[in-house]
Amino acid sequence: MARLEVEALCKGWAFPVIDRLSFSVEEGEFFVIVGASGIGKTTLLRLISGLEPPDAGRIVVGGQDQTRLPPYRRRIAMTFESYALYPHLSVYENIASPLRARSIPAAERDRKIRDVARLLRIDHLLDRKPGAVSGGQKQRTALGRTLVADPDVFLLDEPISHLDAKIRHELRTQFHSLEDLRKVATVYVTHDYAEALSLGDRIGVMGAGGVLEQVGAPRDLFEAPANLTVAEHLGQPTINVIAARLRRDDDTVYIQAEGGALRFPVAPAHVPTLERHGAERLILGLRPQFLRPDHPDGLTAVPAEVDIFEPLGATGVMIAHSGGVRLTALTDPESHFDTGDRVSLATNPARFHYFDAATGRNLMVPG
Amino acid sequence: MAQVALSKVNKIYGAGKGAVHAVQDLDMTVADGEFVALLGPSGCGKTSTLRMIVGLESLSSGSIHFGARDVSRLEPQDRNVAMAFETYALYPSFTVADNLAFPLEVRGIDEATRRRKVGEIAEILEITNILNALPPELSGGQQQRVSLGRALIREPAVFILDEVMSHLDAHLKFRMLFDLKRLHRELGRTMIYVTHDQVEALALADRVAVMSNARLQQIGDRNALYNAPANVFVADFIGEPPTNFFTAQISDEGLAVENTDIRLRLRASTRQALAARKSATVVAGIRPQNLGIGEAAQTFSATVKINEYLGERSILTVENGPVRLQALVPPETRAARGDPVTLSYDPAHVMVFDPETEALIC
Repeated sequence: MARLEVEALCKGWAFPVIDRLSFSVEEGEFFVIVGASGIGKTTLLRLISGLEPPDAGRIVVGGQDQTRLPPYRRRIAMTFESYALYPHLSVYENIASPLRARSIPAAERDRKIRDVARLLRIDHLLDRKPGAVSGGQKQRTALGRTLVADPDVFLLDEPISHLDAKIRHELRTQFHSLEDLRKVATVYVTHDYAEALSLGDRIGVMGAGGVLEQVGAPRDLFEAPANLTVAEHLGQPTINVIAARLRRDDDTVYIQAEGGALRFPVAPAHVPTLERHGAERLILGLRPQFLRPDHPDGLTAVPAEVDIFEPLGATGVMIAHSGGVRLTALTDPESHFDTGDRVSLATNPARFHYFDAATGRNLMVPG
Repeated sequence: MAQVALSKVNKIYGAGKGAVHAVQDLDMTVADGEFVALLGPSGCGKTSTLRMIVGLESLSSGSIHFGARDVSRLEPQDRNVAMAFETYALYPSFTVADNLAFPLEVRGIDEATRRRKVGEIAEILEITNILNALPPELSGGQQQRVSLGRALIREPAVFILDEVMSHLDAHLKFRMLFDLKRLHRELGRTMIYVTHDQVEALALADRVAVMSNARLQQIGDRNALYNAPANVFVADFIGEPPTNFFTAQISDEGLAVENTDIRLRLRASTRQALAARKSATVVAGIRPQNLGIGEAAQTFSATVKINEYLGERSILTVENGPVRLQALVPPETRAARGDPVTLSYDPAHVMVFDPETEALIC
């Protein structure tokens, strides 16, 4: 039972993969690191597990510095993207392998293995060899092997990303009911923001250069992203990012798109902060979900012409242009629009995000 | 340009007791210039079907026509069909331009024509700026586009895409969806897209062919698959989260869901259709997006188990007795584990299936 602390971890000097990264994960906490492919998420897990030595910084588990401990001495269980299953052992024996070394009564061991196999929907494959199951089933076997272990820390590297869409969503929901995961510190790495929002007690968004752009509860990150990188990484379709200028017209403050006629009134609550900031040039962030042609809960609307409309499952996505600016909006999936249709896109300026044009910092988020 | 017609196509691997019937009595027509997705879980027969269309696999019986031409026995290179794969399979030491030109070079097409065609295809795929780059220098999305370009440059009559997006990350995938749609519009080719991802299939294709257990379950557009799924499999496979199903008994008011206090009202036409049935037991289905939160004309109560916040929306997993179901709700919903919740629905959205055949009754 232990807390995981990562302190000022570094890997790589001239071009750091991980750059003075610090965070801690409480016992029983599910901490998700989300970031684009190749950003250094796997490297971070390899450093925590001891498979690679850090160039600087410390890994502390349960108050004990483990930075110099070899991997097998750490009470850490990790899944690998490459599965690393024993080809000559059955799925059952592969899942059982972390339990062999420990003195667990046979009946309890068997129950643990079958429980996890049922959860991962591979209970019908227990007698097969890894060579006789599909890639997705291999991935679940590897995940099962990690989950039966009884570590202080779980490290899960994209454990469900290679699965069929259908089963991925099922397993995501099931992770919520997995009691063992909720007892120890877990670090879960993914590129899928929906997985991160769904599963994380807290989320860290990893940006270029091996830094955490923001750490916080899912709702806080989505509704109050610290900067443009976080705002762009969370959300599908991606947030509309519009280079804009602050304008004053009589008593009303407007935000006007660069080189275009598109403009919105600024919400009264935002005006003091924007005026204190002082810069005329800003970046306006406008989530597609708050720009809607069919649910005018909005306080203001702009005319637009439809370029593309696609119904995508639970929502429809519209790409339109207004005053020379390209906008993505969400619609009801049942609605239908044709290219060239003229629509009115309603929005609520209280939902807007304003970012510093140079640094990308969210002006409404302190710090 | 060609219509693709599969008629009574069967594929049986092996013989005797160990024989596997991978594709069974498949009848399907893809119109000239149409974009059809072949959708289904792993092992449903979609890849075997695709391989038979391309000519990489022989037919056990039945026929495949491209337009008026029977291609069932033709070699792949004689069918005028091109295919792009999940893996990019680019030559790492060739530039993007040389990779694109290669299929033309092996056909002995002169250099001026090759250069013109590479330019055209690069423009459509928006890769003109990377023509001189080598594949290892490119991102996954760029490599995928080059791979598409290499298949397209032959100007095939039929163009087949096999899971081409499954290795792309979410944001890139989203862009590729729009790119592929545009590509289809601009080229007007017959396209068949194979995938296990229903969101991709519905987003891209004019019509989606849903396969399971070696058989075609239903072919139709989004509206048909969502609102009139042929059977339980289609209702479950199409839509995310999947349709909620319950075993229920027909009663005077509508349906009584087994082992719960959920009573579902039905619209008049559904009640009439059920009145003629001998058995009182049916399978009812309702989609998570058709369950709302709060008071309305028709409601039932449940207890929240999981509230999954997903940014643009939330998924509530709730229980009533032993029945677990999911509802798609606004992200503002704060209900937490253990909270009671009232779910509302419109009787028009309750689907009813036969428990034996699993076919849609109404």
